[in-house]
Formats: sequence, structure tokens, C-alpha cells
Amino acid sequence: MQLNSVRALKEDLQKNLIGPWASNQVTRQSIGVRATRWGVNVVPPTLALGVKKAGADPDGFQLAVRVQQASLVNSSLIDQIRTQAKGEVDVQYVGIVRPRQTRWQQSSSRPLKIGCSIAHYRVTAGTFGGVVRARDGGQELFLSNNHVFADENRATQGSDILQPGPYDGGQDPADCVATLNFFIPIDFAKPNLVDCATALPGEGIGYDAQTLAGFGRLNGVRNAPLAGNEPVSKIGRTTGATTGTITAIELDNIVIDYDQGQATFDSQIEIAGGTTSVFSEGGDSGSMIFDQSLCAVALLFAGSSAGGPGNLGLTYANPIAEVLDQLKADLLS
Amino acid sequence: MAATIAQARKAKEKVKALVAANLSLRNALAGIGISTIDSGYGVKVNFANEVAEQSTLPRTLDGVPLVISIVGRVSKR
Repeated sequence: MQLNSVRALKEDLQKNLIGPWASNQVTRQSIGVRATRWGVNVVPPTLALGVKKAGADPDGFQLAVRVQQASLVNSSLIDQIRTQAKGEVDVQYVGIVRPRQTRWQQSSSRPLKIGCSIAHYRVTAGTFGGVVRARDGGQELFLSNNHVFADENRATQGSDILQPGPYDGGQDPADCVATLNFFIPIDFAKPNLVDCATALPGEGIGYDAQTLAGFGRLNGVRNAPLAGNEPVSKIGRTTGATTGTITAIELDNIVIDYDQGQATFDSQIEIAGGTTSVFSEGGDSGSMIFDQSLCAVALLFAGSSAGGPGNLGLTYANPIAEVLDQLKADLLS
Repeated sequence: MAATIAQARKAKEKVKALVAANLSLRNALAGIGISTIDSGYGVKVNFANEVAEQSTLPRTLDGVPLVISIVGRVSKR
């Protein structure tokens, strides 16, 4: 099936088959002993619909059905779904799904590790990209985006940066690890090249500027020009360690939605994830992107809602050389 | 013959001018960059959504291939 057909079928089944069936389950439970567990109009956690790739055909998809009650696998409900999907369905019993343990990236990290959650106290959460050394004075500074450390130009120098970020439970001042040092303002009227900022580490706050957890040791900054279709990786607060492919370079006229309005960026790098996995999500901003030699190539800051293999969205990043030049700093590695 | 990056950069500027001259294309534009296509270089034009005028863009420009992608809205991460 085409992707759009599977999506339409999924919506139709949810509305006309699963919804009424689930409501019936709630009604039946309401006369049982566990009536209060599921409120009225709440779907019991027994069955989920999704979309799955089918075979090698890039345009081939099928309906995915995930069942939490073993007795449902051979039920009339599943038979009806199979019939409506004309057999193009993948049914699997998954049992009860429990929340995963919190990623290390979203927890307190001392010393700070590249990829951990961090943010200004008024921002939700972003990613600790690494450490730079100021060319003038030699101070070591934390690196991330303006919109992570400087709240889109609104933060004042010296304001608190928390690890983990507030969304991950970081408290001010208990989890303050640094203070805002410097940011390149985001211009909402003219094209930008970077979304970056630095923070001054607090006294006694330890940090590891070299380790790319699961990959090895950061190997400086990439000097050779980037090639299209080249694999790159990152460690981010939300999606952890991921690898994708560079799909465009020297990308101009990208219009980015910020809280304060739209800003245009030129000379950016575009990265795609895989057919079933994204390269980044919200909260990964500030991640250092590196090549297979573990050389830094870019600073992640934005993403699209569609495009790329699987139409899962694309990631956008500032070339790291431009970031470092504008910050007048060198990457510590 | 596969296009060089220098050819792709020149073509990119021409594509920018074509898009800028059309209001619908300009409003839907989400980025113009250089991409690797067929072992050479090409121009990648991203739009936030489909607009009919996309069909007016050439498939090649001065021998440089052009690819169009629909990427939706782009927002900070």
C-alpha cells in the first residue's frame, strides 16, 4: 500500500472500528470491579495501530497492529482489520508496554558529558554540545545554541544555565552548572549563519570535553569539505546517539520558526535520518554533529516536520567552523 | 556528465532567482542548497508544501540536475 492509503485506513479503523470497540470495552468494564481505572471515553491499553514499511519497495507500506492482550491476536476484531487492510497487515503481540528508563542524557551528569540535557533556567531543555576555548583569554566555555543558553536573545549575561534542563527536572539554583557568557544574536530581519552561545562553567563543575559516549574520543574539527551522502552522528538529549546522512550543504533561505517569530538562515547543512528513525527531535538542539573520524562538523539547531527517507523530517545544523569563528573560540578536544 | 560543485553553485543562484520571481514559490520556499546527485552535484530545492508552480521549475539547469523536496515547516529543536 502507498503511505497515504495506510494512513487513511488507520484513521478510518480508529474512528469506525477501534473507537466503538474500545468504548464498548469501557462500558463493559464499568460494571466490573476495575471500573474506575479507565475513565469514560478513555481507550483501554489493548491495541495500537501504526504504519510499517513493507518489503524492499520504497513506496510499500502496511498497517502495523500491536496487541497487548494475547487473547486478541486471533479475535474477530483482528479478522475485521485484516479484511479491511486486504491482508496487508502486520499483527504482533507486544504485551504490556512500560515506560523506558530515563536516558542518561536526560539525567544529572557530573562531570557534564557531550550530549547531556542542559538549558537556560527559562528554557525547557537542549543539549550540551561540547567545550570551546576563547581565542582571547583562553577561557573554557560550554557550547550550545542561542535558543538553548540565551533564550532567543532574551537572557542576560550571567544568568543561570541548568543541567539537566528545567524540563528534565533541573532546579535553579541547585542544578546551576554555568552562567550565560556570550551569544550571537538571532536576527529576525536579516539572514543568519549561526544559532550559538557559550556559558561559563561554575566553579568546581566538572566536564568531559573529549568523550563521545559510545563512539570514542572527539578528534577536533573537520577541515576537509563535506561530501553529500556522507554519514554523520550526534549525541542528543532527546534521541540519544543517532547516525544520519548529509543530504544538502550550503543551504540558503531556510525559514525557522522560533518562539519570537521566523528567522532565515543561510549556508546550512541538512541531515536525514533513516527510513524508520529520525536523526533528531526537539531537545536535541545544541548537539555536536561529527563525522566517521569523530571530527566535529556542525552544531544542530533545527528540524523539519517532513522530508527525507520515510518522510520523518530533516535536521539542520550550522557548520562548526562558522560557529567557532563567530564565537572567536576553538573546540576543545 | 556529472555536474561539478562549481556548476551546482552557479545553478543554485539561478534557481534562487527563478523562485524569487514567483510569489507562490517564494512563499513556500524552505531552502535551496547543494546536494549529491548521480555521483555529481545538483541543486536541492525544499518547499514547506506543494504548490502548483513547482512544475514550472526546470529538471536541469545548465546541465545541473534539480531535485524538489517537500519538508514541511522547519522549527528550532
